[in-house]
This record gives sequence, structure tokens and C-alpha cells, in this order.
Amino acid sequence: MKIISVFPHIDRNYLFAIGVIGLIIHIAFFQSINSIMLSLFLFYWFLLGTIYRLSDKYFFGIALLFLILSIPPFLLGYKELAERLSVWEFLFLILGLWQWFVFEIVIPKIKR
Amino acid sequence: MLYIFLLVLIGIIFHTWFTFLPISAGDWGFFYKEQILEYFNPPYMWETFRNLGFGGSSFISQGVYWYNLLLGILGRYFDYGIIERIIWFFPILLVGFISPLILGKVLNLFPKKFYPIIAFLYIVNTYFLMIMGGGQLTVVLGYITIPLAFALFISTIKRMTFFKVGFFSFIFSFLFAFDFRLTFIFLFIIFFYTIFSLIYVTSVKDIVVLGKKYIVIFISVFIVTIGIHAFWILPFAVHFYNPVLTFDKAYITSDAVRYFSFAQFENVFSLLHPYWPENIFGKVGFMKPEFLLLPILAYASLLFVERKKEYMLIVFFAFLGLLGVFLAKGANEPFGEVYVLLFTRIPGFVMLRDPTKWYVLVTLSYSILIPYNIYKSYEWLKSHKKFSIKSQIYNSQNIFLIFIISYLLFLIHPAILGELGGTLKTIEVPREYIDYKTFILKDNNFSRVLWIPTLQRFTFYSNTHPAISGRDFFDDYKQYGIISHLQKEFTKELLRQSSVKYLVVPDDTQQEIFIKDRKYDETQYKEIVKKLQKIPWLREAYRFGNIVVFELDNPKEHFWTTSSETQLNAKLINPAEYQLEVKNAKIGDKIIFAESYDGGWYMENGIHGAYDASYNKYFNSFILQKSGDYMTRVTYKPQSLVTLGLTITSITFLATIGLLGVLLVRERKI
Repeated sequence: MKIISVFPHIDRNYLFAIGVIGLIIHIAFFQSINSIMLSLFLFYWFLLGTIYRLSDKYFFGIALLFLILSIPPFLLGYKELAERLSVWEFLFLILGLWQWFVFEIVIPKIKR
Repeated sequence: MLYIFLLVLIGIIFHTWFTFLPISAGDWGFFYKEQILEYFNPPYMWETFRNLGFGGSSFISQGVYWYNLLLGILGRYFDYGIIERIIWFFPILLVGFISPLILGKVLNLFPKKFYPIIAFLYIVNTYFLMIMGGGQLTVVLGYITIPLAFALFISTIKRMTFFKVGFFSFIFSFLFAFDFRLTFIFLFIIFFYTIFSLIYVTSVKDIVVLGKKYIVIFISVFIVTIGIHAFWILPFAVHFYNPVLTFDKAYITSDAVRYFSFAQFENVFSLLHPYWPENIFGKVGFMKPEFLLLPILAYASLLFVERKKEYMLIVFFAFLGLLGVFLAKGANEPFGEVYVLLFTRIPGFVMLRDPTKWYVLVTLSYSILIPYNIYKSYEWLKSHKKFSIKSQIYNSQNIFLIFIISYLLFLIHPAILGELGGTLKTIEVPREYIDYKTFILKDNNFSRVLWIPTLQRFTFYSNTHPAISGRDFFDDYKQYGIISHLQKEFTKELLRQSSVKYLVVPDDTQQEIFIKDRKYDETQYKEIVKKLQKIPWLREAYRFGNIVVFELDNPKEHFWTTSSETQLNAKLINPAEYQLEVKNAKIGDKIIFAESYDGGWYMENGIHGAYDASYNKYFNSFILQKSGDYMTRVTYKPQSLVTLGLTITSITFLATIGLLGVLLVRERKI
């Protein structure tokens, strides 16, 4: 609880930068799609999204960016890299749906 | 304009369906006139061709009985090629075209001029073309019914009338008849739609109203479906067994799921069937990056959608697509173990060991999301002056539409260029198989035919001469594995006890059997014939072209006895009933009925048991309780409930049709 309460006071750009660096490391350097690694990064982005109340469209945008980025590696034959990019696209879509569910549906209902 | 375009496209892709030459490929078999006429009968709960030609119960395969009955009726007047089109191919095109349009109309997310894009994406995608080409017609029928059933369901929930409830129940009963797996998937769709509907419910009163609607719908669905399927559900309920237990372990273990998880994540995500376009089982094609534009088109709609009522529907379809992607990739990464867990723990998932069936969710999702995105982009281009061109036809929005359509056409270009095989190609029945059929029909005594290594597409079989696949019989799938079994002396006795009279090596005219590295290998055929010729207890008796028929001396009859004095004479009444003449019988004599063991078989004056014929073949046996000469009957007990079941079915069917007619007239008056 303590960690979460101090979390918003940290400059959020640092936290996003950590998240992006983590993604780049995973996409560029990990050879396989490791479920545990995916879960860790996913949880991190889930926390960021929840704490900073990011819009679902923000995640959908990132997802589509990943999908567009995955096309050149597929064309150039870097299949593993392209796969990892498209997996992240999928996961960011899920995150977007989650954000929508929490901030558009659940919280307004509770407030009402 | 788009409607005409789509119809022309369908005409080009399925042009072979507009001839009357027979079609048979993949799982879609071929039936001779004699076999077709056999379907003009009541439903039999026991069928001789099941269980590798040793007979088996057919309760859960009876959903398509009405189709088969129609096949039997039309078979009296038409050839197979014509019947196929009347019963299956033309209805598939018609319903496949209309069903997505109805869903589009009910959802009302965009103007109707964009509806043909829904139908385009739903029936001219790689998944549909592969299941269609592979001859999985019951899956296809279920697939094309789902948008219609879903549209009716949504419409009923929106504004409930008795007609809508009845019509949805009626359509659901068809879906249930076509394919249990797709019914299961459809229920999944309904389940998540319900959850999404509940999200927008604001008061307890609304929840109660919604709950009441669901109760009415499900009671109606239950009554109509059970009623219409009573002719097999009733015997099945009385003679209940868990069908899963009858499956080979290779089909229900987690290893089976891993084996059948052919689609990689990126395949499903891009709505690209892993076998596209060759459609060879197990041969996964390379990822085609051009398909990656499809998910971009689909999920970009999430960025365009405004936060109004339609937002819920778009998010629902996006969710459905993502869920489909996750499930259809099966045990592949990411989080592949989740599917294995669902398969082993969640009831019903055991039917979906081939996870590609979940592609249905992806196609349904993309069929709505992509047209929605196209519509939004089209409107955006139209409204932005920067892009506006005054011409009615040559304007930026139409150019965009043409670009998208061209792209979609490019994705399926092998289909347009006629490069797809399977059921999109016609066939010709080879002469030698017709000669073989004529030969076997002349032999009126019961005997089985063992096909080495396996049955060919044009293999003729009947109740008098069931066909057995050698590979399945010996459970040996190695190249010459069956030969080594046949070279063993005790195999002769096993075959004799199994009433096998002929062993046949097929002519592999379709190049589906003698395959090495996915190519036809004639040496395998020659080698098998040569090796069989060397087996001393086999005699080469006939040749029809390259079909070689070997004969085994003194096979046992369908009914035989261990007693040397007792004489038997059996007569087939129907597959579920035999008349047996017994002579010189003594109490305690054992009669073997060479059909797969099943507790449902019953004989007057006999105690039923099992007879172990080795190789995991268990036949039925009866210990006689009466001596002397007499006539008796051997019957499959569950069959006795079919008449009652058929009566319930007929009443339910007619009552539903009648009620729907009355309700429709009354609602129109109002």
C-alpha cells in the first residue's frame, strides 16, 4: 500500500521510460516469448495505467503502433522479432480494454 | 454496387459449384447411389460402418439425420453431384451470404451499403475457404448459422416478442444439429455478450427485466431443441454413456491439444489459416505479412469510435476477436498453458482439441470491426475538405474503398485464380471403383472387407460388406506396419473371426494414401501388393484396374457359434435388428455376434456378454437359454425408443413451424 501511495509522486516520465526500455529489451534481446517475462512487463504497464488513469485509447494507440512496427520484420524475415511485437500489440489491446472497463464502466458506476 | 461485386466474386471463387459434377475432398466423402438410398430410412441408433466397420452406436451423430433423410429421398431421382448442391453447397452460399447481412442490420452500426463487406469478410476469408475446401461441411453449416443466430439473439434481447424467441430457438436447434463444437462456441459468444450487456445496466429493475428475458429465451431454446432432437436424445438418455470415454486417449490428452495447435499467434491475429492455401493437414505455411493489415484495420476502429451506445458493441467485438486469437492459437505462446488448462478442466473444451475452431470468434469480430472502420474512414474522407474531390465517383472516399477492396481481394487471390483444391474442384469416379462395387454387390452373404493400408475415397461399403481400415484395425500407422501383422499366423484367425473375407489394396487415384514426404509414392503400393502375394493364407482373387482383391478362405459369418452342432442363419432386418434362426441348439451354447461390443444389444433367450477377439476387439456374445430349433431376434434396445422420439420430434417441429407462422401473422397485424 505504501508503495502505491508514493508511486504517483514520482515523475511519471521516469516510470514510463522504464516501461518502454523494458519493452525494448524484451522485444530486441529475448529470443523466445516467455510467459513469466510477459506477465511481469504486463503487470508493470497495468500498474502504470491504473495509477495514472491512462485512457484506453492511449493503449489502443500503442497497440496499433506495435502492429505496424511488426510488419517490416516479417517482410525482412525476422520472424521472432515480429512475433514479439505482435504479441505486445495483443497485450496492449487487452490493457486498453481493461482501462476502458475500469475507468469508463466500473468507477463511474461506483461514483453514481 | 458492393452487392453485385460480392455476388460476382462468389461466382468466380465457387464456379465449380455451378456445374453438376460430383465433389468430394478431405472429410467430405463420396456416396454411390446404392449408399444414398440407404439413407431413406428411420434413424438407426446403430450403424454398421462405425467403429472401423465393426458397428457402433450413432446417437450423437444423428443431428444431421434430416439432411441424410433428404439425401435418401433425392437420391431416388438425382445423382450425387446434383444432390450435393441442392442440400449442401447452394444453401451454404445462400445462408453464408445472408446471415452476416442480417447481423449487420441488427447491430445497425453503419449504413447498409457497407453490409456486403461483412458478408465478404465472413465467407471469403482464409479460414472459411480452408474448412470449406477441407470438406468439413458440418462445421461450415454451423459457421454460417452463427451470425444469424447471434443476430436473432441480440434482436430478441433488444425487443422481445414471442415470434423472435421462437425463431431464435428454432435456429439454435439447427446449430445444435450441425455441430456441437460450434454450439459451444456460440454459447461462449452469448455468455460474453450478456456480461457486456450487464455493464450498461444501471438499475436493479433493469437487471430483473433482462434476467426475465434470458429465462424465457433459455426455456424456449431448451424445449424446442430437446423436442426437435428427441428422436436421438431420448434413446441416448436411456442408454447413457459419456461419449468422451469412448474416445481414444490420443484425442483427449493435453498432448493432443499441443499437437493440434497448428496456428501460431500471428496467424490467428491476422486471420490467416495456418494451412492457407495448400490445405495439407499438418503443413503450416509461412506467415504472410500482408495479412497483418487486417488486424490494423480491425482494431483501429477502437480509435475512431465515439463514446456512445455503439462503443459497447465495438469494444465487445474487439474483445471477442482478442479472445478468439488467444484461444485459437491453442497451446502456442503466449500463455499457451492456459488453453491446456481450460482443455483439461473446463467441461466442453474437450470437444475443441483442434483449437482452430475458435477462429470463428476472430472472423465474426473482424467482420464487424473492419467494415465499421472502413465506414468511419470513408465518412472522415468525405467530410474533410482537404481531401474532397467534387466528382460523384472519382473522389477520395471511393478511392479509399477501392483500395481496401483490392487489398482484401489480394489476400484471397489463390481462391480467385482457382488455385484452391478440395471441395472447390470437381471429381470423376474412377472406372475400377465402379467395377469393384458391381463385384461386391453380387456377393449377398455378410462379410467384411479389410483395406490395406486404408480405405480409398471411392471405397464402396454397405451393411452387408462393411469396410475396415487396415491402419486403424491394427493400430499401426507405419509404412508397412500392417504387413508385419498380417504375416503373423494368429492374424488369420482374428480376421476369420471378424468375418473378413476380402483384403483389398486400393488404387490411389486421388493420391491421398501412398504418400512419402507429402508426395505420391507408387513403390509403396507395389511393395504392399508384392508382400501380400507372399502371405500363404491369402489368395489373389480379382483385379479391377490397380485394385487388387485377395480372398481369405472360410471366414466366419456375422453370427457364429463355438458349438460344432448348432447351426445359425442370420437375416439383417436393419442395422439395429437381426432375425436369427437357431438349429440343434443346447442350453449354454455360445453365439458370437461379430459387431463391436455394446451393452445395448439384446437377444431373446440369450444372456449377453463380451467376446475378446484380441487386438482390443470385443464382440457381443450370447449364452443360449433355450435348446432346440427356433427363431429369435437380436435387437439394439435403444432403437425401441426411436419411434416415440420421432413422434415428439415431429410434433415439436410442426408445432414450432405452425406457431411461428401464427405469431408472424399476428405481429404483422399489430
